[in-house]
Amino acid sequence: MTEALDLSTDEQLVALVCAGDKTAFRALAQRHGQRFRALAFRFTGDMALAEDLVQEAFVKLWTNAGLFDARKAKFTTWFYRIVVNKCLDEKRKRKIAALPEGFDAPDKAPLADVGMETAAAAARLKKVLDSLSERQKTAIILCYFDGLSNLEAAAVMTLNIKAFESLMVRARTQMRNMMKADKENLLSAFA
Amino acid sequence: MTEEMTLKELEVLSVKFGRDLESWPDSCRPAAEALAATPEGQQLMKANNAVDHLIEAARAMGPETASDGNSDAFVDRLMDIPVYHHQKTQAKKSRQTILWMKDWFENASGWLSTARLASQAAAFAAVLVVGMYVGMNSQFSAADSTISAFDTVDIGDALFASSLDYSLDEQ
Repeated sequence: MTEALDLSTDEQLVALVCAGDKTAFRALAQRHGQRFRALAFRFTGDMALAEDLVQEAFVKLWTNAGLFDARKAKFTTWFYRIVVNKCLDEKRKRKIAALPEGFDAPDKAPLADVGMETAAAAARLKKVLDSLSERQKTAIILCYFDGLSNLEAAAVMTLNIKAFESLMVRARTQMRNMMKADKENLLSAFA
Repeated sequence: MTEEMTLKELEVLSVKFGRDLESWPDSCRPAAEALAATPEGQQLMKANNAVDHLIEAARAMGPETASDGNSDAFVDRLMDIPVYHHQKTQAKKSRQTILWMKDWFENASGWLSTARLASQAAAFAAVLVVGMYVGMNSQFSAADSTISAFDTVDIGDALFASSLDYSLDEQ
């Protein structure tokens, strides 16, 4: 039975989940849980929060599996949309909320236990990504970190391929400009 | 693609085909390579490579830094969701009903074609005309109708008479 589920497509599994099949749900969670946690982490930069958001998304999948329409989209495309929207909503909420006391304290998680070089690269990337608009950032994350093709990422963002590629060009240009400005700042500091 | 490529075009194609020019289609590769060899092209390619390197370095961090240091614990929590949450069967049923209705309308779209609508309208009009004709030719005359006989009885007449009688008796 489990082997049969392993061979099933995501869409077949969701159909079983619709009928209340817990094993099918578990197969989906095992297949995609970590991937979507990674995605959420890249948006939020906070692993505990990323896990909470993905868990909420999976709860929604279990309780409202009937909302998925396999004729309209692939399961992953649909679920990417749910997770990305959850992350963006959370980010907006946090922007609106007042800064907590001690907000300027050093950031302990989640980079502290990662290699220094990687952490430095991640911090630089975070700074560069933060300079992008929400849509540009989403496009970059889906394409370069989640390994989606341009076509798949465009489907997640409900854009046509041309609009998506233009968005990517603008995002990359912004990233280049930001990195150039950073480099110049660094050089002027040493000068 | 024209033989001469602009930096903008090179950038768009980089997004489309990736940074490795050798893997680009033959139709645009020679022009791209020619442009990439110019000082402006080199500058752009270098800046693009820097962006890609930064992404690669950050990607090395991966999603593995789970909050509890144990990725499986997270997946286990996900797998326990059916134990703690109930499926919304009612919502599922109404959704299924909506889907069924949608399917029905899609399948019955033949009934909604112009020709069929016109024939349905014609049938409706014919029934209406026949109904009106029958209605106009079957009016009851006051003389032979039992209902009309009742219409001639004035209940109020008896009522007022008796009321008057009472008040006269009192006097």
